[in-house]
Amino acid sequence: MPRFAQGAAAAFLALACAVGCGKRPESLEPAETFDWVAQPITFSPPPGQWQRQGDNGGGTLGVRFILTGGGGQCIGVAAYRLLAERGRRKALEKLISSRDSLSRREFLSSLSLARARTGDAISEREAATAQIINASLDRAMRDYFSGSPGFLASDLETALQAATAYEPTLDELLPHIRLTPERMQEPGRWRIGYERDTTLAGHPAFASDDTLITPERPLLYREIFWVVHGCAFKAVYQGTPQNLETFYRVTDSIQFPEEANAPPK
Amino acid sequence: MPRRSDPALCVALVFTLAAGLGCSSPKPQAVEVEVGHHRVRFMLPKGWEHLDHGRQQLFRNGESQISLVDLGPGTRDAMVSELRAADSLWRAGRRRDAFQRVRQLRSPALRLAPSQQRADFWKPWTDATYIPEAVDSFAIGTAFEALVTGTRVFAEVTSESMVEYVLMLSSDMRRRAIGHRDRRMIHGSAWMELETWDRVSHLYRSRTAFLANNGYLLVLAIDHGRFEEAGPGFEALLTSLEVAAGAPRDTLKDPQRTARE
Repeated sequence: MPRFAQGAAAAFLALACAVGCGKRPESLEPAETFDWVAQPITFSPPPGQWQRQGDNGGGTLGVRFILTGGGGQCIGVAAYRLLAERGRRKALEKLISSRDSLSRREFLSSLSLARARTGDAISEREAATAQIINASLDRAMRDYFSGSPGFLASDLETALQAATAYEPTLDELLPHIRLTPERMQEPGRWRIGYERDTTLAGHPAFASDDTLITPERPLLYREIFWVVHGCAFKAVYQGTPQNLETFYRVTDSIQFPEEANAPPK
Repeated sequence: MPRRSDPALCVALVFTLAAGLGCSSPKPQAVEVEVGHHRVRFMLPKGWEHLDHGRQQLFRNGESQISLVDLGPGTRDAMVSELRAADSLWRAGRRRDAFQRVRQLRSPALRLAPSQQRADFWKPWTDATYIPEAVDSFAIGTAFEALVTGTRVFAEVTSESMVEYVLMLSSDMRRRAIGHRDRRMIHGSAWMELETWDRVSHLYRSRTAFLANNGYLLVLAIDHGRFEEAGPGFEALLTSLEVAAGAPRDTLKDPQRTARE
């Protein structure tokens, strides 16, 4: 066998071995669908060494995966529950569907619960929608007391149409949900870095690459925000550069299954 | 040529074999019990303790507990059967038992009905039996008929509403969601199996399985304990469960009830 052929074979074997023996990233867990808000979200959780915990704080509902022995490294995916609950569509749909079987007290109570919030509007569009909904519900109450079921049904339909037509956008919600160190407990720990617009599962998203200064070491602090059918979500990574890839693999697996409760596109 | 065997070695082998057979774990015993309206047979998994509480059969292993429960009527027809059974008790002179049986009536149709429909259903009965000691027999008979007729106003129970009802009664579903559901044929019976988990984190998994036997619901559920420990016991119990098909047990012939009376 010629000498150069032997050398080539050895080089090929070495390359094959290097490729084969390279550390491959652990595969993610099977995809799961979470119904934290009206719009469900599906994603593949990180591998088993990331311990799962429910996360229900700061107006969000979600899940956090904490790296075992990782010194505070974690990946989180959550929905903004309180923002989603501002939408009145579900309450109005329920009221309309159950109207005939409700007693007078139950009806008036449901009517009151279906009213939109007006004190702390997140945008001018939301404030205008809230006004239409509440004005329709005021008329509905008058028509209920005057015994005009036809007008009452029409009032409720008007309120539902207004509630369905309004879906908050990422631009409207972003000022309320993005990281603002001044709103955090220890503002000095956060360093705002690079911010950019991007997409996630085909939806417009906003990403920020910040730094969290912990007593032990600085950690990367990555956040991605996006809104689907009026429901806001975020994905957060807090950790070292070595595990950043796992975070991006989790966010790459995010999908949004269609759901009966989601408003039409 | 084969080597001649050593007699001492043979004896040792025989003893080892005998000891091995003698010490092997005993086969799980088949247990036959009545769970309310259902007659069932199952194999008790190794390490699990069985407590027979009649309508509720409990299985315990350390901190884990599984229960097999008769949840009563699951369909409108079974509601009628239950009311007819109560009527028979009353006609046999057991008024208090009959009244108690009517009070305990529960079913998906009743539970998931609008409040006004429920109130309309109970009205003839509560009107007639407001003061149980003072009510006359004619009024009771009429009230029984009104209840039986009243069952017709309820919507037919769908498999979805049955799932909702079973989970409502067997676990706190305010914070839980269904992770997986599956239909399984086990020893000729069609079971609906549900895996539930925490709605937010998908942690704290649990399993529930149920079937409607002659309209009456039989439910096997993990009550508490770690899923990793209770899960295998649940699976072993479920796959061994044989449910005898047949008419619901006649309460009039129930010796315990007769003795209490």
